[in-house]
This record gives sequence, structure tokens and C-alpha cells, in this order.
Amino acid sequence: MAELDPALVPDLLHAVPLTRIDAAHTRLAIALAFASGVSGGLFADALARASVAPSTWDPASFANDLFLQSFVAQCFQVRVHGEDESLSRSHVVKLLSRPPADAASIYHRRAIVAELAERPELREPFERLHALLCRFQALLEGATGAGRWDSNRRQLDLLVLLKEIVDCMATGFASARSGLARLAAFGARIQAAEPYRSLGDLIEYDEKLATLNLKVSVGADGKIRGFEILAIQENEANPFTSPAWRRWLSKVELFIRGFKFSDGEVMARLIDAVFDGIVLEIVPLVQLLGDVEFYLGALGFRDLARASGLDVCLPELVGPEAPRALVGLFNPLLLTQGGRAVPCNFTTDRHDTTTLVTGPNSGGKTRLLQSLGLTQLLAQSGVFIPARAGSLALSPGLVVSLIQETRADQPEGRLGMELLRIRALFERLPPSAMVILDELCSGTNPSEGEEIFELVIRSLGRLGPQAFITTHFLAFAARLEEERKIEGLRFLQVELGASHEPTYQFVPGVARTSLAGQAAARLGVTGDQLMSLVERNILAARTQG
Amino acid sequence: MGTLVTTRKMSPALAARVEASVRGRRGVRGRPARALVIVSARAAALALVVATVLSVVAHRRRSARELEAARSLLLLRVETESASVTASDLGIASRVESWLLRANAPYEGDFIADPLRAPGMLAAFLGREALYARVPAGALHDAASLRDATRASYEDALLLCLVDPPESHAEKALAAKARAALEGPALAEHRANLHRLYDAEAGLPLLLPGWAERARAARGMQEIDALRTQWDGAPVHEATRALKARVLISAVDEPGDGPGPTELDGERAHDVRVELVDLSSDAVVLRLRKHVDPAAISALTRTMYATGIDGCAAAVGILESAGRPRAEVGLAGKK
Repeated sequence: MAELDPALVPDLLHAVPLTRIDAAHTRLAIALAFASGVSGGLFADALARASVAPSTWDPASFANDLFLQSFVAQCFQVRVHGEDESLSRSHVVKLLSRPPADAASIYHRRAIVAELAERPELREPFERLHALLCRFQALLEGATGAGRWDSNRRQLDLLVLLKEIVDCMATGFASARSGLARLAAFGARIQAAEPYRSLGDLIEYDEKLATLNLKVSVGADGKIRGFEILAIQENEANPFTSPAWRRWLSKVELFIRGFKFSDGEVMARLIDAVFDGIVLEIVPLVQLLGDVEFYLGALGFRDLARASGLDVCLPELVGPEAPRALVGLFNPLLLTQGGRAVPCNFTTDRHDTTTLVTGPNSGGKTRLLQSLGLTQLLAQSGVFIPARAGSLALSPGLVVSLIQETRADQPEGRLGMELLRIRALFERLPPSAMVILDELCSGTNPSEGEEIFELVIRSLGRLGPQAFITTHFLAFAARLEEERKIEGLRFLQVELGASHEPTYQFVPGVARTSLAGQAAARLGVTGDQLMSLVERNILAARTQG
Repeated sequence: MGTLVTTRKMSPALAARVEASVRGRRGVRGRPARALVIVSARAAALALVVATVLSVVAHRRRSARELEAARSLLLLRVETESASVTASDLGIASRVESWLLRANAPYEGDFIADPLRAPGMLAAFLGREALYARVPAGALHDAASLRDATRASYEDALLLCLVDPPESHAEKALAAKARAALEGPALAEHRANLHRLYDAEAGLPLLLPGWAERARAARGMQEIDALRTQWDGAPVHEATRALKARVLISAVDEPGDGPGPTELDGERAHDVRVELVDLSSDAVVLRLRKHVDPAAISALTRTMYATGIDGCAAAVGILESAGRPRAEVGLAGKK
């Protein structure tokens, strides 16, 4: 079996083309599916087993805390006529959770995204290519309708679709300047080869074996009374056309060789031969469908944000010493959760800092951390970030700790689990990585927690991370701000409005209050409210007694 | 090995893939033994069908050749026998029948043409190619009865004694002729020019053009065999000579008369009419009626040769009526 040359693969995700699926296995699966019409989801399986480019990011360190699955499901949709047409969500999650270590691949992706966003004349064939690939995948994996009974018809339909796909690639992206040009090159290369010509000839043979000139007689009542064949012209130029006697002898020959005696069996051999010549070119299409969905997901995210009055961008990539500036930053998870995403501007003077974020409860601190994590993730994946404009530096890793679940089987109490989380953080944190921690050391008494907190941020400083930590240890944070003993420490607080309500904007400094009283009043936990509930319960008990 | 599924217009690469597909490289992978059995069985079945068809074709060709050979041989025999037969010859039989049917009328009386009375002329007349028939008068009603009767008419003692008379009227001499007529050899030396009318009638249909056409049109060996059997069973060769005859010798046995007994061989007293016709001139040259009666024959001889002795006696009587002395008659009969 011929191997798949990576240089000939239309890889849209990497600067140097890669074959990321198991070509031999996929080719065999395609051949079986083509023959049988039943595959059990070979595209999804191939994409699920597909490898990714080398990445320094470990999905276990952030994927769950950033709700990456939900983000892809809700925001990275391939929508066609309002319906989600995504094939393999897990494949997109895998791609996003393992951003390429190679910066060239990031720029490669950004160029494609930018070209698709800026040039509708490319997005249209790109979406058409996706639709064709999906139809091809559906027909290949599951025979439906007439295809269940007429295998030749189904296979010919598949070959017709394949030709449309190749033609779409060759002609739809001829003017592309980004990595999309690989599609045109791939399509043109196939078109120039013999298997494609044979494919076209076979389709023509199927559709137009001969032309009949008919003379139709119509009666006075307008009904057809008869017809006369004036001439029969066979398409003799077609290489598949042979005289009737030869076609009959072909059936005899096939019968002797163990096949059925039928016209369909002759056609089946021709289809088989054509398919065998071009099957190797189908294998990259499986990978391509995953790539196309990745970019259509990115465009879908952009469309979703714009529909909510927000905007996205491809950020400027800068060095760690350059300022981090995110304009109009929003939390994409809020777009489909019924909440209102309030954009904010987020700025730090440089990237390799540890930023303590303080503010009242429900002030947007955790949402900010989610936004920062997803922004970094999307930027490093080469797609749009949830901000109108921005600049940020690449990071060799991301560790996020936002969720502190209590599980029945957890080995330690709350403090113990907190300490285990800190231990795990340091075990896997590379230098210059991004660290996002929510309410560090909140599981013990403030005085002891503050000591551990200070130990952590001092130790983090040695790694030069891009760290963002929220805390309610306001006095402690204020002391650190005042002392300025720890290098690279920055402080942001939730901005409050005139009525001390959070504006979901962030300004330098340390908050003076967590506004717990306001939250308690909003949620009905003041002294009067609690006593009122107690009296009501006592009265009710007496009445029942 | 190539395949008929490919065409010359296909590129070599495509043709190679088609051949690979036809060979079953993809379709029967993993089941080579079963595929081999299927292929072998179908090949054997097809070979059997082809062999059967070829065998049938060969058989038909061989049959056709045999048919043509048999037809050619039969037609060759027909042409050989028919070569000497003229259109005039083919009409002789019907003319003779009409002469015989004319006898179904009251007897017109004895008659001998004058030229025949000259010495040696009767013998010379009887030495020409002649047809002979002896029929009962009751068979002269129609052609069918006549044909049935001529079938039973052979060269008998009457004819023998006409061409080779006995030495005397003695019973012994007449009985010798009757015996010789039954045994055959005595007439053999004279029969080169004497033919049964029946031979001409029986062979004539096979010498007509229509019969040869039937042979040419025959579609099967069975039909040819039937025609060949018909040919072999018919006196065709005798007919070709009989049709050359230009003399008719007819004898009509009138019904028996008198109270005498009927002999064991059917002979009884009756009149016999003998007529000689020159077919070349369509003229009767001799017409005589003689009475025969077996009563005078000795009892022992009568039992065995009554018909023959009466016939010979009638012949002698005719010769004597023609005025020929016995010695002369005897010389003429030994010609």
C-alpha cells in the first residue's frame, strides 16, 4: 500500500503539513465502507484517534476548569441554516486543548482564519467544501435509500461527490494567499492525474452511454401516441464504452471468474478500479474535514459574538515583557448561558507578573479568570479571542484551578485538598507558564492561609509566570501592596459603582471590602431576615402540635 | 491474462486496476479456496456447455454431410437410370393402360393383320421389346383394378409358349412348358425383350422429375432413407427397359363357363382373349379368343399344372390360327 506523503496532504492546521490520522487504517476503513455502506463512523473514529502537533500544554491542567467542552459545544459550532452540523466536537476540543508549540503553525492558522473572515468569496467555497465532505461522509458511512439496495448507485454517487469535492478545492481556493492555497494545490494535483480523469470518464459513462434521437408523435388530444428512434449515438470517445457484444462477453467472463452474470457486475468492476486508483486521495479528506470544522467553528464563534453585540479579534502576539492589553474582553461562556457578557478592558504593564485580583463576591473575578484562560487558549490555537482588540504573549503552559469540588472519595479535608492542589501546581508548572487560581487558601483560617498564600506567590515568582489569583484576604493583599517586597506582583480590584455595586470592570488596587453584607442582604441572610424565619418555624410547629 | 472488461482506450494504469479487480484481488480476499472452487465449478460448467454445443454442432454438420452424401448418391442413381428414358417413354404406361381398358367391351371378333400372316413375321413381331399382362376380364372396369391385376401378372406359360412353342400338342410337352414357366429359366433366354407391365407401372413414378425433386428437397436423413428404400424396392431398372417397349401382348381371361369343376390352382374352363398391339402405330395386329378347358388333362398333371397347360394350349392355338406350322413356330420361338 502506498504511504501518504505528508507534503501532499492539505493540512490546514500546521505550517509543515502533517499526516495526523492513521493513513493505513483509515484507507482500509474507507475501502470497507465504500464496499459495504456500513462503517460505524470511520470519520469520527479516525479523528478521535488522530494525533496532534507537539504541544507543551497539558489539557488535564485546565480543560475542565475552563469548561472547554461546553465552550466548544456552545460557541464553536458549525452552523448551517441555523443547525449545528459539527461532526466531531471532541476533535476540536483536542485541537484547542493542545495548542501547537511551533509558533509558525499559530501564524499559519491565523492567516487562514483572517483570510476566511475577510474574504467572503473564500468562506463560501469553504462552507460548500464542508457540506460536500459531510455528504460524502454520511453516504460513505451509512447507505440509505436506494443505496441500500443498489450498491453501484451508492458508489457512483460517492464518486460524483468526490469529484465535486476535488473540483471545489481546485477552483474555490485558487486565489487564496494563506494556507488555504494548499486546498487548491491538492485539488489541482488530483485533477492532473490519471485516476481523476478515469473518475470523470466513469461518471460520464454512467450518465451518458449513448444519445437517442427520438421522434414523438402526438395525437389530436395532445397525448403521446408513439415515438420513433431516429438515431443512436454511443459515446465512443469514452474509454469505458465498448460494443454491446463485448459487454455481453464481459459478463460471461466475469461469470466464469466467480461473479454474477449481470451488467451491474461489470459496472462494479469498473467502479472498483476507479475507486482503487483514487482511494489514497480520500484518506486526507478525513483529516481535512476535522480541519475545516476547526476553522468553521472559529468563524461560528465570531458570528455568535457579533450577534451579541460583541467582537472578537486575532490578537497581536508580543513578548513577555510587553504590556498585556485586552480591549473589550468578555467571557464567551456567558454568550449562550442567558447571561449578559459585559466586556471590560484588561491591562497589565507586562506579562511575566503575578496579579492578585480582589473584589466583592459576584463581582466578576472568576469570570475574568475564565476569560483570561480561554483568551490565552484561543490565541495560542491561532483563532479569534473574545476581545475586540488585544496583544498578548505566548505561554508554554496553562494551569487553571477554578473549581473546588467536594467529593465523597476525596482523601483529605478542605485544607488538605487545597494543599494537594498547590503541590500539583508546582509539580507540573513550567517557567513562564500561565497560572490561574481562584481563591487560593480559602479553606482554612485567614492567618494560616495567608502564610501559605505568601509562600506560594513568592515561589511562583521564581518561575516568572503569568499568574492571576483571586483572593478575599483583603488585608493581606493590602499589606503586600503596601510592602512591595515581592517583585512582579500586581493588584487589580473590581470597580464599584456609585451605589457600591460591581461594574464588572477592573482597576488597579486592592478592594477594601468584599461587600458580604450586600450579598447577604441580596440573598436574604441579614439578622432580621433570619430571625423572621426562625419565628415562623416555631409558630408552625406549635400549630401542628 | 487480459480481460474483456478493459478497452483499448483505457489508460494502462486504469486497465491494470480493472484487471486486478476482475481477478478478484479485492473481492475474494481471505476466501481463496472458496473462490477457486466457484471459479473452477463455473469454468467446468461452461466448458461442459461449450463442449455440448460444439458436439451438437459437429453432429449436425456430420449429419448434414451424411445427408448430402446420401442425397447425392440417390440423385446419381436417379439420373443414371433416367438418362435413357425419354418423354415418349414416360407416356407408354398410360397408353398401354388405355389399350387394356378398351378391352372392357364385347369381343370384337378375331383379327389378324395381313402382314402378320407372312412367314416369320409373327415371330419377328414377338421378338421386339414387348410388355405383357394377363388379367381377368373383371379387372378391366377401372385403372385401379387394372393395376392391382397387373401386379399379379407374371411371365407365364402362355407367354412362354407364344415365343417358344412346345414340340407337340401332347400333354407331356405342354406340361413341360408349364413347368418351365413356373421355374423361370426356360423364359429367361427370351425375357430380354419381354417385360411385365407392372414393372413399367411400378418404376414409372420414380423416374418422373417430381420424385427427384422430393429427393432434393428432403430435409433429413430419415426422409432420404425412406426415398432410398422406396427406390431400392421398386423395379426401376426393369422399368427403364419396359418403358422402351413398343409391343403390347395382353391376355384377358374371361369368366369361367360350364359346369366343370375348378382346379386346385383356380383353373377352370373359360375363354382367353389374346391381343397384340403395335404401340408404334397404335394398331391391333392380332386379336384371337381361345377356349381352354382343363378337363382333358390327366388327373395327376392337372392338379399341378392345369393353368400352365391351358395357357400353353391357348398360345399354341393362337400360333396355329396365325397359320404358322409347328416347325416354323418352333424355329421362331428359338430365335
